[in-house]
Amino acid sequence: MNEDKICAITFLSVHDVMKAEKLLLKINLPIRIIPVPKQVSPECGMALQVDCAKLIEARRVLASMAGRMKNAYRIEGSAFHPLEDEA
Amino acid sequence: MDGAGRLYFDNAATSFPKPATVYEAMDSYARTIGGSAGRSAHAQAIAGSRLLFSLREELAELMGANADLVVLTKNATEAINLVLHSLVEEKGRVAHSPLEHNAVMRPLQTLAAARGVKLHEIPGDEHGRVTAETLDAFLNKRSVDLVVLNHASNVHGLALDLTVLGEICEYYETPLIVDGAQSGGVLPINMEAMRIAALCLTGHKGLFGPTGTGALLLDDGMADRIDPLLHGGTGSVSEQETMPDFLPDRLEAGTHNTIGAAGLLAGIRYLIDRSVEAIGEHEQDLRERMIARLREIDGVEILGDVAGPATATVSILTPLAPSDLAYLLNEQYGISVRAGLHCAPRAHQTLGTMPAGAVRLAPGALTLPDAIDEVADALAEIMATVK
Repeated sequence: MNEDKICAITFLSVHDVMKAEKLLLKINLPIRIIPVPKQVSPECGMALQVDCAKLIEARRVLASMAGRMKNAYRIEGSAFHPLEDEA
Repeated sequence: MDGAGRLYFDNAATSFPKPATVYEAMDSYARTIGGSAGRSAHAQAIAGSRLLFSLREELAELMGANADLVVLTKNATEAINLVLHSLVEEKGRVAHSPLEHNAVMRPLQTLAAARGVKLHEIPGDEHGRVTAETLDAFLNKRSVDLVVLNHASNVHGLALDLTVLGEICEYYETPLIVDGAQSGGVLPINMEAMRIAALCLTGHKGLFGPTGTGALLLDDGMADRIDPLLHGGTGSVSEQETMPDFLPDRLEAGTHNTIGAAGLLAGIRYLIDRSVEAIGEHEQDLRERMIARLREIDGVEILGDVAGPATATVSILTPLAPSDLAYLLNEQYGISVRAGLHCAPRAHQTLGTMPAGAVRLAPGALTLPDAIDEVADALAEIMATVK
């Protein structure tokens, strides 16, 4: 994974985003809350932006929330590529 | 009307005053944040969302619950309705204590009429308290779908031993639903240790929040069993015209009372700082002091005059009609109390005080001990004039 790349993780609910934010901040992993991108979902919720280089670590920390995470994406300009597609 | 300078003895209805931090938090939220939680990703909405998250987490921590299963409601009544309307099925059987508030009895009677639900009153002791013996004997004889218990009575303040009663419910594989409106913040509650399946709380009494706040706390087994009473926007899965299937969104349609949540969170932080145990001890001291003074007054009969876990709430009977005594206390002494049935006809029926009810004296966590003496002096003065 390219270290310059930015990724995003989407969750079922805003509560989950807040919980994930807390867990990731606890290990000082840099994150940002961003709107759920339109290409991903038409809903008005939030997602977490994280460096792609830190995505594996983030997912490990969020393992207890596995059922509450929806998808991960690589952000390229205004395009969001589902990471599963790149596997 | 200014509440300052009066003696407020109606904390069982709603606590007053609140800790100063509650007013400050609400003011600050309204003036500096103001965003609608969960409805966008701008800074103000995120701040509102973080606030709701903190509220769920800190309330759950206080109650030995799971923050992911905290549903914010407008009061305990909404929480109770959510649970009962979801869990009680056609021709179901529900057991309740003899001291239930109408927040429980009215939904139960509605379900009895609409779904043919059979209601069973679990016997209590002479004060209406369900005990280990009465619950065990009851559940040993018949099977019910749910047991609903009022943790602490809003009439005489006496509380149940939920640790033991929860064990018995677990033994009989019957979910325990608890109305914690009076006890939340005053008596220790731990959902896990007490095997509580659903805990219904109001925010504006012992938790020091404003009116219009409350919560339903669920255990893992209940998470998928509660259906929404309200349907509407949640800020999630907006492309879908049906409710989300995940908590808390599934049960929280419509814009949150975020300013209320700010006050409630500040109230809970005050509680954590002072500790529920310390508040419980303070209320127990107030109760004992009040009962000791009331016993000295001729013509006053105390409901629930017995040792045991309790809030500071006490009710009394006198030769005066409850409404007349409350009126005199209000008009001549500036004392706020509540007379009548306290929305708990079942409890008054149990205590033999129907239909007139009683006068309830409900000091609270912020009541100073001297206030007890002032109220007792006023009652003694009034009773001295009664033949």
